[in-house]
Amino acid sequence: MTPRRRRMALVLGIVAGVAIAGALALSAFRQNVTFFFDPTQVAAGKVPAGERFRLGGMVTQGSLQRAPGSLEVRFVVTDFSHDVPVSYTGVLPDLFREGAGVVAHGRMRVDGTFVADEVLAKHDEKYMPPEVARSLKRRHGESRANATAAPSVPSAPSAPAEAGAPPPHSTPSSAGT
Amino acid sequence: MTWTWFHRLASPPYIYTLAARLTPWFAWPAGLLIVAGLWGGLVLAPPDYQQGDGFRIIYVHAPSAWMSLMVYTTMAIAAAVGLIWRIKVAHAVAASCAPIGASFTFAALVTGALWGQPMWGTYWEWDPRLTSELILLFLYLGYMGLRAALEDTQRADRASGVLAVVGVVNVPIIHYSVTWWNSLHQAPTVMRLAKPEIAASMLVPLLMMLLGFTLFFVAILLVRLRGEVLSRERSASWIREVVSA
Amino acid sequence: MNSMSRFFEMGGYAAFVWPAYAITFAAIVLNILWARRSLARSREEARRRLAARGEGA
Repeated sequence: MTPRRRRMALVLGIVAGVAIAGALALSAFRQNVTFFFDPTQVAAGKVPAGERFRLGGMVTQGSLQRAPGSLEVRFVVTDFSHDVPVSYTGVLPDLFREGAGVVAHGRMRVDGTFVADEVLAKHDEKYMPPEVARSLKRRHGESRANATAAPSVPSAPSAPAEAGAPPPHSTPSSAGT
Repeated sequence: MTWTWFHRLASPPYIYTLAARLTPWFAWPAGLLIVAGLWGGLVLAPPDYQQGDGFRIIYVHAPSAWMSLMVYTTMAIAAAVGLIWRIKVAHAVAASCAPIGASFTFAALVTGALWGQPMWGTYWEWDPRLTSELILLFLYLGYMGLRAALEDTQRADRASGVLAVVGVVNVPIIHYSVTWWNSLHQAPTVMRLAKPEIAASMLVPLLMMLLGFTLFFVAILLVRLRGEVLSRERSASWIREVVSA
Repeated sequence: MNSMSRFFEMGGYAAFVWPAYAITFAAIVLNILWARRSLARSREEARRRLAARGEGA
């Protein structure tokens, strides 16, 4: 009886010990585990000056600009309290969208523009068929766009008005693609 | 206290014949579910509104990733039972888990890379989720390496058992890495408390694949377990019966 | 024919979708083969042990 209890205590003790050590190590290195910084952290000066880091956030609706004749793009990354303008030259991933998550790797320029040499798209955990997405957008378009695209020009919900009577299956104009 | 079932499960001849008898009951439903899930995922499910047909990688990536964590948890529990109660059969279960878990962890990493390249724009990033999953692969490989290095089965059981138990700390880290830290990887779709944010026509094949892979694991585990149990028994008379049959 | 080739194109993601499925199904098939081989090996080993013991007695 007693030796078995002792072995049980030993096994549980080892797991608890490693878990505590791991938790301490992870919280101590929390900064280093940070995969990206958001615009608020950048604005607060949490980012080591002059060094390469990753900037993460949402691409502001309507902020994407392409330079004609080159691969250079400019857009604004926001977390809805602070904005960071980004400049990038290269091919954007398939999931890069205005209003969707993005992680850019690069450096801050003196003028406050983040110059990226790599742009990664983040996606959410939602999966749905295109028709469902379209009807969802139609039904909740107004409220959703106003909530998410607060700092920018709302593009999608106001679009149908200009076209007069678009057929029900037309995609709301989501710029960029 | 009715501990008789527990003692019976710990008896090698009983577990050997039970494993042999149970295997087809897991293998056939696993095969059917995986074939049905494949059909549902590749043919019936609609393309995703953002990712198009590329999202179909979910039907092999998510089950592989689920296996990597579920098999490790099984292995660690079996190793702990083996260490505490000194049950050979429990150590045999743990030893049988490792190659299965390692192969699916590898599949999860590779399918994830193949999904990440077109969608995120990169095969690999040193992201918390990706890095902790890679550590899981090294834990499996370390476990198998340690067992291979130790001649004596009993010593191998104990040493590798401690490693398996210690490594279980990584399992919640992997699962919660996407919520604890800023990660490139999205939050879980199915393994969460809230209702899954995925259309039913896409979810049903995914659930079939998850269940099919789980049953497949049990079937393979039962086959491997028989071999492990046999190799641990030196001179028991029951071996003559099962081996000559 | 047309719908078949469209299926294999996977909306342009064929180069990612099919290798992902291939690697997973390689894992499944290899698990079956390895498990059966390891059981066969253990049985063979046990048979040899019994034979050796039988001759010694």
